[in-house]
Amino acid sequence: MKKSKLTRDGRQAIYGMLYILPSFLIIMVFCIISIALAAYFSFTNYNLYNAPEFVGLNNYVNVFKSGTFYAALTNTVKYVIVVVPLQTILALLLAVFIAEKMRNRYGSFLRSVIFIPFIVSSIAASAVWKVIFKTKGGILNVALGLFGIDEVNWLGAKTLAFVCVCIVTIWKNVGYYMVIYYAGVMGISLEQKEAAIVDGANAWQRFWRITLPSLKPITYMIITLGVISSFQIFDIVYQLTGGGPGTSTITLAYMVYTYAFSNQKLGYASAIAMVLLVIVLLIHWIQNAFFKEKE
Amino acid sequence: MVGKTKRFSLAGAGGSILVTFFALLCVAPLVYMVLMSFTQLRTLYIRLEDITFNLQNYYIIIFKNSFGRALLNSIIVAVLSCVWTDLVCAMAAYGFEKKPVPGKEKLFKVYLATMMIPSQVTLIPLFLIMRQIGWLNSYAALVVPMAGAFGCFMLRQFMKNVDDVFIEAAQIDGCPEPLIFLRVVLPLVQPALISLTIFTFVSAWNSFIWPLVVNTNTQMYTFPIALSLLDSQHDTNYGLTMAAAAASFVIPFAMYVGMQEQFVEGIALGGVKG
Amino acid sequence: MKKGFAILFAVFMLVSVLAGCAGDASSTAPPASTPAPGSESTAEPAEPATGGVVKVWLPPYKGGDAEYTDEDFWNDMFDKFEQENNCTVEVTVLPWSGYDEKVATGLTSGEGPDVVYLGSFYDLAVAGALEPLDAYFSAEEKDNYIYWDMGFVAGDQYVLPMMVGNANVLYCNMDILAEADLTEVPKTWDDLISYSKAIEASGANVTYPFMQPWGNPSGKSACMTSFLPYFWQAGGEFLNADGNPNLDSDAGRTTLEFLKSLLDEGVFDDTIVAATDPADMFRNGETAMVILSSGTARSITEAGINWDFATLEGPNGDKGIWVAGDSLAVPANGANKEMAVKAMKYMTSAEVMDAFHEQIFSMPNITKDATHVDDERFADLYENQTADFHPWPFFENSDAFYDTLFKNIQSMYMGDMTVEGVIENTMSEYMTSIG
Repeated sequence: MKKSKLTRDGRQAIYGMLYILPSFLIIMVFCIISIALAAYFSFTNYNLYNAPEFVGLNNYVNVFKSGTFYAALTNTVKYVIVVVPLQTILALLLAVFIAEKMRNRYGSFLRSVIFIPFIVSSIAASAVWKVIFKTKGGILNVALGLFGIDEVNWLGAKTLAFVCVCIVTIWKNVGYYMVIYYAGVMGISLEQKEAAIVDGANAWQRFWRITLPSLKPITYMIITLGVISSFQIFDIVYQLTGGGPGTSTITLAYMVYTYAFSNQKLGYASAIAMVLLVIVLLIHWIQNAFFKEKE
Repeated sequence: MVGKTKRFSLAGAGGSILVTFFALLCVAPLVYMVLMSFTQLRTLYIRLEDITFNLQNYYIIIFKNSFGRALLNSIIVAVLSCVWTDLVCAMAAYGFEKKPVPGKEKLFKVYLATMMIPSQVTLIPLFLIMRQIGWLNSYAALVVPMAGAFGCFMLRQFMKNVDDVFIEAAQIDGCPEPLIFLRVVLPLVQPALISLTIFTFVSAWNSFIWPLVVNTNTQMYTFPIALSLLDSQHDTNYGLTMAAAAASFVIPFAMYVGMQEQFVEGIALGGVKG
Repeated sequence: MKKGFAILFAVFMLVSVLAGCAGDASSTAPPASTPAPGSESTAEPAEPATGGVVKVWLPPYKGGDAEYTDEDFWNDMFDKFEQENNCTVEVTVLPWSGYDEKVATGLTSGEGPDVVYLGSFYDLAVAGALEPLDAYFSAEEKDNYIYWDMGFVAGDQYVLPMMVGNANVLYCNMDILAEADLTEVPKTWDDLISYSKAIEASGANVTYPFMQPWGNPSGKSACMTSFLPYFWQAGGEFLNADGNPNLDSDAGRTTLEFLKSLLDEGVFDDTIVAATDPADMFRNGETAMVILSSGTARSITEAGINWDFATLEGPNGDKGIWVAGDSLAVPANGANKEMAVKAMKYMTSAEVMDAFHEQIFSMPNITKDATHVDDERFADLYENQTADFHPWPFFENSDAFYDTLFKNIQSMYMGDMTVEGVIENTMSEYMTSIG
């Protein structure tokens, strides 16, 4: 490695590899092998206790025959479509507004407050929200009752239960994405902004012309992370609605869980997970194309 | 309330009120949680006189025999996870973004793909791997996998904004490579590092299924697991449930409040240099 | 097709060696198929006890606010056993949440328990993960266990029923019934509906006159209390000759029609699909009638409720009472099976179970020589009505089946599915899932 004839680029490349190496080993050992095993299981009837037997595409055929799978897929996609744009736009607006208009102690106090839900564990958050959303005696319905509003069947009606899951997710995540955006807004160089002000651009124009384009890498990241984590929504659904009522909030990850741990059908569960992987990859690919086009 | 250099504007004031209202909505459930934790309620119909501010629920949590050990385990795991994740991911992000490593974009796509599989399905393979390398019942099993693709991805996005000029200047000065990373690159991405630290701390702290599964020895139980043992299937003590939720929330909250100062400083620093 | 698996593991071994980790090079076989024999006991010579170490996994029965917890109880109880057998017993009380995952990984790895408490064990038994117990018990011992037969699943005696015989009955709040001029408990399905109407009419301050936990996040436990008993009362046999659920039958239709009529007759409205915590609601007087296990009686009495109970009968006079069959099992890959069975016998002995029923959770006795007296109101039930008792029906993929059935019944209550729709969809999903 220490050959003196190495070019500058070659040396830099080796440094780069050394920097990446620890992370590479972790990803290889703990992620790639896990996923490879899961992929292998998806072609077997593995039930955790017996040696896996190869069953070809059987699991996949059964996945695509299952009505629950389509319900779960539809819900998951719907969930991504609702949650990701809402939380991203909300986080962006909050971050930009606080950074530009409330750059004072009060603003940073509010920023800290909005972040707080992120710290709460999903288990605790769902426990609290479940109690809040209770149709009978829940604090939300009691509060609405004071304004003469009839009892709302929050977790007991299809659309509402879905909305509740979305509310809790956004409540929990928006602060974190806002903080990331905030760090990004603060990183935009002052010269750029001042130049725009000198040009006579108003706040709105500055937002479109300077702030938004500068935040593009961060927006890309937030959308990517949002899409990936939303596709895997599990904790909140599991705790809050159990996938119900009916199949109105059942998601793919919830299905994976039921089959992997309640029924020990790891082969079938893995097949669902692989389908999910392919879908997310596909969406990621579309998203990349979209971002490139805008460049 | 509006910054002194700014002129007062109606839109600004309206926006401030909206943001304030939103912030209130964010904490309202938590306030409710804390209030409930001071009750002994077994019903949801809460009345003001039920909130007795007695600490009985917290007393139960603190004097459970495994409490101290579980708290210590959680703190050790969370702190080690933060240091480890920051270091490993920052190095990787720097390598990916600023070094001409052949094939790095392809590798990075693989990194991203690893995030797309739900953890329910990799739980068992991961457990088998840990068993194979003899890491069951160790802090390593809880800490080492924390440095996954998420941190690398996030830090890399921030590193895109770091001007190469700083790095090149240091190279021309003959600064050794490890020092460039430590003295030049890390400070430039400090706000992102702090975001990642908070994220890692929170996920390590709140992680439930993995620590439960990977520890066969109760001495290694983390705080959320110790708390979950308070639940019984036959009886719901809403007060106690809420107190447990509040207790699990206190430490990450304290650490977030503590980081707040550095966070502001880090952003200021980034702002000046960036 | 073990080759692919072996290659993956070979790759993994390579990487783990590269990473400088001490892998156990001798066991290259997949851990899933061959549990490393004895690796646990040799790796950790904790104490030079001749009887070795017995690891016991259980969930908690007492709430965490109890002075004396399950863990305290079992540790105290095992002191004597450890002395007599010169062994070490490690009791691990595991939270209910995450229990399935913990057991799944524990049993897969050979790092798991020697004695494990299981709620559902059919799939484990079929997979060969559990040790057949028949040979370990003498004829007298078997005879002493009242529910021994309930442990016979998938063609062998794979488990020893422990938390069992806890019959689910209809509790009635007699004060609320009295307000509606009802002095006796309901007996039939029709009674249930007419009582509910009378209670509503009396202006009682209840959320539901009769409630069923159709918002319970666990489809399985909702079906246990709110579907299966009616199925049996409708005269049905839940599993057909092939061992598959018999939902597409007269009994299935009658049951679903009855459940639907509860909504149509106004016993409850569609908010029922979000209703949970029946025991809490009953203890709080928020519902007048509810189905709960007999073990709940103590806490209901303590809550100051004036209660009585009933066992319902269906349209043709059939009865059906569900009794849970949570059991102890010995994993097939355990290292110390002889001692594990010994510990199991000790745990279910009259001495220990009497103490458990007194101090932790009251339930009917599981052995003939036990002396604990449950609430005396149940004496007749346990002496004369056991013929109506049904254990949990076991079949492949039962959890997924109940989850689907439960969600479909929710859909029925929301007006999205007919009775026929529930039957058709549940069965076709089930057939797909068992492949």
